[in-house]
Amino acid sequence: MVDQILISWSDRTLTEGRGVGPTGSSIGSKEELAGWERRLLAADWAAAEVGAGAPGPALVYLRFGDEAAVLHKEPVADPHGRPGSTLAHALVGHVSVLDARVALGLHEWPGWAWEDTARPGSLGGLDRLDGYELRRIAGNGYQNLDASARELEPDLLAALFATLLSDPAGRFSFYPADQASGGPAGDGTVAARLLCGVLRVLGDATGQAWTFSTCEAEEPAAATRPRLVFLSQAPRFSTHVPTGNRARIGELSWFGQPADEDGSDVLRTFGETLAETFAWSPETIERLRPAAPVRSTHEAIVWAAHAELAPGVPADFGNVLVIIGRGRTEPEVLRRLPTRLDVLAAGVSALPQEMLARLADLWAPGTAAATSCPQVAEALRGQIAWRFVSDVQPPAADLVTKFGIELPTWLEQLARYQSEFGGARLLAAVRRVAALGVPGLEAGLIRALADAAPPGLLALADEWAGDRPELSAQLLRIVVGRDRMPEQDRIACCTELDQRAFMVACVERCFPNDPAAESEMLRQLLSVIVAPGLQRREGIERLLPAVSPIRSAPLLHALAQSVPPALRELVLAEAGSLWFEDNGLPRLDAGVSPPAGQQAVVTEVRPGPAAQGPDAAASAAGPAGPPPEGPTGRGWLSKWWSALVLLVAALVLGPSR
Amino acid sequence: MAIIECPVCLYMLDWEQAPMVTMGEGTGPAPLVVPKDEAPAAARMRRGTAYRQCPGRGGHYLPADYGDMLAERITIGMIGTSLVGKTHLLAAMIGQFMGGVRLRQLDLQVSPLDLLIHKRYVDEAVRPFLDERKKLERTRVAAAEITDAFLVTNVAAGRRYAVTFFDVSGEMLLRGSADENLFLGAVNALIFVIDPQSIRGLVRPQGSTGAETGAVHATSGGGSAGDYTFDNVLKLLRLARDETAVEFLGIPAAVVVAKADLLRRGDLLLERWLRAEADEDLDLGTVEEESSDVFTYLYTHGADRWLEPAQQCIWSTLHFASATGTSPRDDEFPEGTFRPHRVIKPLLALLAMKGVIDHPAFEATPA
Repeated sequence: MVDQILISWSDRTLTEGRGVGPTGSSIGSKEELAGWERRLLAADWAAAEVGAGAPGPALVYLRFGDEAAVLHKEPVADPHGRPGSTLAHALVGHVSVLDARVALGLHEWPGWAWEDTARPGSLGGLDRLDGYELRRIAGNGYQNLDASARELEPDLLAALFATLLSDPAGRFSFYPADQASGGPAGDGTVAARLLCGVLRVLGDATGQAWTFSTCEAEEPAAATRPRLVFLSQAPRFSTHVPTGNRARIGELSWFGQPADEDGSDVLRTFGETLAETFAWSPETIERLRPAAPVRSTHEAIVWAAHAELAPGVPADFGNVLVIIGRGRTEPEVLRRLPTRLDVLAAGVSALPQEMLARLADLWAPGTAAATSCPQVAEALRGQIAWRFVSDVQPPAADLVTKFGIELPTWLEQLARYQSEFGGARLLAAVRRVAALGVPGLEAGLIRALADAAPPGLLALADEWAGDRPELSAQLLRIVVGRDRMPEQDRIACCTELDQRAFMVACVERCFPNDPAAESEMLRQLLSVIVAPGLQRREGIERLLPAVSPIRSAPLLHALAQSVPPALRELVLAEAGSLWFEDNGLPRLDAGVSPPAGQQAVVTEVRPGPAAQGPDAAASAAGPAGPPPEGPTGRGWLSKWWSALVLLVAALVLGPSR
Repeated sequence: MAIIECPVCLYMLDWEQAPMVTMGEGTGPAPLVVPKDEAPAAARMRRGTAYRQCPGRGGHYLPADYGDMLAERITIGMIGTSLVGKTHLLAAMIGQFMGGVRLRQLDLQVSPLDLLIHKRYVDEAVRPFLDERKKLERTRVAAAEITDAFLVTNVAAGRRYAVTFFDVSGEMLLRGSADENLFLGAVNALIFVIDPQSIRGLVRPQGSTGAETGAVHATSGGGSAGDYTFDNVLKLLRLARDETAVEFLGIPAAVVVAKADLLRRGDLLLERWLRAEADEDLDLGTVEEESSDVFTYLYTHGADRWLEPAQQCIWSTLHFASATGTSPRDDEFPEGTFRPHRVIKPLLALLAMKGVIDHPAFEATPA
């Protein structure tokens, strides 16, 4: 649970005082309330004036051992009209409930008390809050703030990160760089966004909790001040020794001891890297986090110098590519690139999608960068192609176009994809690539698909028959050209034939106005896929009712050639009025031998999870299938019959028929 | 070795060994660097406008002149609960104290002890209040800091004094925590401020202000309870000075009934002083009479609890004063009626009690 305290000026506070003190609370114990009053007022947090002319309220996060307080302060006049007062609404509780993220997530919480909703002294008792619900609300608020923080000017964040790392254990007071115009430090909302960036990027890297105030008029003088305080104006003259490092917001200030020019450069560059990474891919920040908290300037410099995006890839790799892409190709910049190609590839693969999008124009073919560092350009193209092929963080088509990826790269990545994920998933990748309309892709695809799974090839051939009939025909040729077809593939091909009306339409598009060629392709398909079931009368008789309704002369012509000559009459009788000659097909007589060149069909039973035991063939054929007897045994034939039965059943029952 | 007690934290400072810093406005402190070949005049100016760093309580800076070995250090604390009018009274008081021409008739020469401290106070309090007639913001509940400081010279006697003012928030005084009020240990002169609105029947009803009176007096020591900050400060001072067992606290105090413009008129004890000539506030010869009248005035109105400082401090004077002479309209005081009245006299009386000003009426008062 979380307690609430309202703090404002009152003639009589809940702790019997006059002045600024608790005027409303959910805390029942007067002693406990007085304790919180001491904590929150001793260091002037609840009472300190919000920045002069600040456009909004201040959000303050304080830690007291394992307890924490989140304060929302609004500048108000006290009941006697005296300016310079505050109405502070404090949430107090355990740090496990009220952490810095929750505090920031509450920056726009509608539950905060405002002057017009909570007149000092009028609230009396307040309710305790459900910590779980509060954290849920804060979580949403934090997400919104995080998105908003990523839109901040990267230079602003870069200077902030580098400044903080110059003294990782230090406390900081930030004030507007331009005193005349105020600036972001005077705006509590911007400060909250900056703080969100700090939490998100540096996180626990410094080993200390981030406590903060988003807007204060005066630099705190108390030693118990928060680590980060945003002032609405430059610190005014004070006789107190500053309690923290002072820095103008948006400008790099160095507080490390001893000041080290090299270290300053390292941190400045690292700050830019962190800011860029946060802007483009906050998830990538996790890769850059230090192994152990950095508590000194030296440790921060070591971290900055050795942070890697991937093994051997410097953290600022993406930025280096941007710099080079913008025309900085002098040797000292190029030296920052990895020299080994595998490291270069690893670096490119670690780049966030947004960074690749940013690099597209800078590294397009013909740019100075692509010309001077062809290996980088190639790695970028390969990476884009890979992401497109693999559908992991797929880039937009225009990004692919900008990078000018050429056929060899596509084929290389398709081959890699097949190598890593197998032929079964290759077809989906091919579909994605083919949709891009890459010139000359067809020939390459045929090579890439030489080992693809036949059922997928059939499906792809059917899909492409309309737009790419030649490519479709080549895919069909790959299927029928296979020397050995695994049993599982063949069964799957049966299903494809069933679902695609024996590929009649596809073949017709592939061989327009050439019935003989259609027939020949269909015959080859039947021979490769269905032939074992066509060697017996029963099989033919069961198949014909599925074939006849299609009323395709080439199909019946192909079927007639696929059955034993002695059984051809069955098919010819079924052809009925579809005389082959009338349809431009060679005449067929009963008892004619198969044409020369018809290949013998050999079916391979591929061992698999379901085919490794004694019942493997039976499993492949279905629960009622006979035990396996080898490629030419009776059980093997029976299995084909089972497949055909299934096929026919599907033909009869399938609604699409 | 010159050991000086820091007025902020009571740290005993080896003045000559304390690091020196310079402070540009906005740029923060930086170690003082005086080139070896620098002209003596330039070096004196550089050192004279620098600061010594006290390492106590988180560290703070003291003006270089604060350690002037030839000057006696007088530290004045403004005492009173929140909203009694300490800030406005002090701003008006210092505004007149700075206008040193009038003070020459008392043989006083006043100059800022530190230019930056003084400029800050003028910019933030004196000018907005006296020139722009603005309501001043409440005093921050923050670590005690020198409010303003002056080098006061009695030109006739050739004595110098470093006079330092502390105006801290009433909330801090009310809490009475030693930790927050360490500066009281260095205070050797006090100005207690009484808000007449806290005392029933003292002010004339005037709309919302009149209605407010009842609420104010009922809290924070109002009504018969007095002002708790007076009690807290007197107790802390006795502890600090180790004077808990003696009858009187060995420190001078000026007790001021502020906001005198709000008082019910007609009481002869009051009228004489509110109608006095403008220059009367420099006449230290009338301090005893005024003190007597104020004492009687408060006592007869049942405000004897507010007289506690006068009872406990071995030297005390009592005064009527008004920092504004009028009530505010919104955030400003009306130009036509805004007139700080009798604000300098309590300070002069205090300085006389401290021996800064030589005056026959205070001859019996040890410095």
